[in-house]
Amino acid sequence: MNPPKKKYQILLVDDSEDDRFFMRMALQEQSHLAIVAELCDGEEAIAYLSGQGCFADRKMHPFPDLIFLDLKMPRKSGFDVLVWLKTQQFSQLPIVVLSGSFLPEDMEKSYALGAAAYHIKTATREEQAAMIATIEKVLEKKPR
Amino acid sequence: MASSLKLVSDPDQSTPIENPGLDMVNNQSVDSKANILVVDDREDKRLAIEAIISDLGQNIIKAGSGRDALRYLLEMDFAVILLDVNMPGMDGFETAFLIRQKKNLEHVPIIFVTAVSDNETHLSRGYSLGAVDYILTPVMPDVLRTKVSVFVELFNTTQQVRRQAERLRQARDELEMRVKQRTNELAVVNASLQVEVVERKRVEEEIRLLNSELEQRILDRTAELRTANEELETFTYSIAHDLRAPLRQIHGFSKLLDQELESVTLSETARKYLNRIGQRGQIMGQMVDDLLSLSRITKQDFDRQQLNLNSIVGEVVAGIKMEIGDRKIEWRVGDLPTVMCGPGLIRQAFTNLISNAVKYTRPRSLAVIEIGKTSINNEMVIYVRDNGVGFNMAHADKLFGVFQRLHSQEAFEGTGVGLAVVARVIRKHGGKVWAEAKENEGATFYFTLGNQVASTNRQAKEPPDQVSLIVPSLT
Repeated sequence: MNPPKKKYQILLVDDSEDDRFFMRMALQEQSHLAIVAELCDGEEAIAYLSGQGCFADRKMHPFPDLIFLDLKMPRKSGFDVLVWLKTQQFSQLPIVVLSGSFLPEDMEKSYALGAAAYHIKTATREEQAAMIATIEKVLEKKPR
Repeated sequence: MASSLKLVSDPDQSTPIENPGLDMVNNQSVDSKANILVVDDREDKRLAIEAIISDLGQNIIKAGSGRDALRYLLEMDFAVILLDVNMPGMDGFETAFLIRQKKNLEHVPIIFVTAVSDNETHLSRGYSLGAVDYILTPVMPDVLRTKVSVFVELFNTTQQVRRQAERLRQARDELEMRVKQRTNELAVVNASLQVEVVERKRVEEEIRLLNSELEQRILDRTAELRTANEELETFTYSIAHDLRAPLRQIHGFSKLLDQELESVTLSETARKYLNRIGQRGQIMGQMVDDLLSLSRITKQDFDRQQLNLNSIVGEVVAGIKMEIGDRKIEWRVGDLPTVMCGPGLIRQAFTNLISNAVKYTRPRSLAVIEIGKTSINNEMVIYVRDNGVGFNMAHADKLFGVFQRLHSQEAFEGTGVGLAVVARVIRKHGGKVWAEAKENEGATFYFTLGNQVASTNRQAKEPPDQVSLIVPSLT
């Protein structure tokens, strides 16, 4: 008998409304993965994670178990957030980078800045399933 | 010696004497006659001496007194003077003294003629006055002749020497003049050469300037072209990149729409239309991806390495074998060379060529795909041959164009970029690529790999072989 899967709270950061929509659809059927907040740019993400301003109430805005982070965003980019995160003490926060870019340099930079995984945005079912498998692996590695 | 007695006019008559015999012409062999002066107051003695020395064949001039002798001496050159000592009035000594007074007569040889009895006193006095010799009377003819001939010879030799000296002087003057002439001519030539040199230098400088101007212009143009090229590639790249997101989203919504419409009743036509929209969106996405790959190939320099082509082809064929499942394909891979090339790019080229071969042999029950090397015009050529549907050579020039296809989308899928990629890769290696085919009889694609010299060593970034999900291992 499988133990009940823990519910993971996911923070989704992407400036594209459509891409956020697709991610929501992809995670819809995964009952153990819940998107707890959607943000549009790096600045909001940093504010959320620091619990600043309107994000101070952690009941309304809980600290996530995982972040989906887009790279190309206005104001502060995904890379900026990664850099900021390195200065923080959130050692338990895995980051999955989302990007339309297949450039090796973007991948290398993401990993160098501490990303746990890199996912190229896709619309196909099979690739989404693979992505979900990756996320689960990442989450399993998290200390409870 | 011919006895040529030349009678000179009487000395007592004061007629000017012509200067006989002295020949100042350049002819050395002309031995002019020397003049001998016989001075004696007594005619018989004069004649006697003349008779003795006439055998010598010279000019004999007789003078009857010291005064006459002096007069002759002023007008002519004498080889020797036979001077009687005993003469009335001015004697021989006085005459000798006066002769020696004259500057040009200082060295004329004087032979005193005197009687034996006057001997000793005369001798010393004579010598002190400048005599060179004595003849004692009675004269012994042989002695006189001998002595006189000595001085005649001396005189002649001296004249000869003088003549030679004069000739030498003339020759030297002429030479000097010629040298001067030559020097002048050389100076003129030199001057004109200098002018030429200056002109040539000027022209060379001009050419050098033009050359460096040209080089500069070439550098500028090349830089311009390179910039324009890079800008174009960047432009293509960024457009393609930016197009991907909306295309992806179209594809996503298309799929979701399909799902939504599963439960909805739609006319066949409506479904067909929706299908077409979805498909075309996908094709467009594929084209954009292909454009991206294409632009990335030319954007980058690459490191060439020594690569055995068999190993690359082996990998590509192995990968394709996995994809084709249980299709029957006969693979004939020959001995391929080791060449200097960019591994990623060459792999891409082979992938495209071999995939094409696989694609266009689908209608065959047994496809035969051959990869090998051959030699054309002493150049090494690699080829990929298949027995597929081939194409019409009339359209061969379109083969390597971007998005150009010689078959319909329905018959064979693809956007028509694969060969454009191959062409760019081969061109980047400095090689050529071309194809030969016949409809329904298969096709052969040939390529060379240009010069095998290592190119720049900028760090290469290999383009990805495919655009797809890349999931890193987390272990």
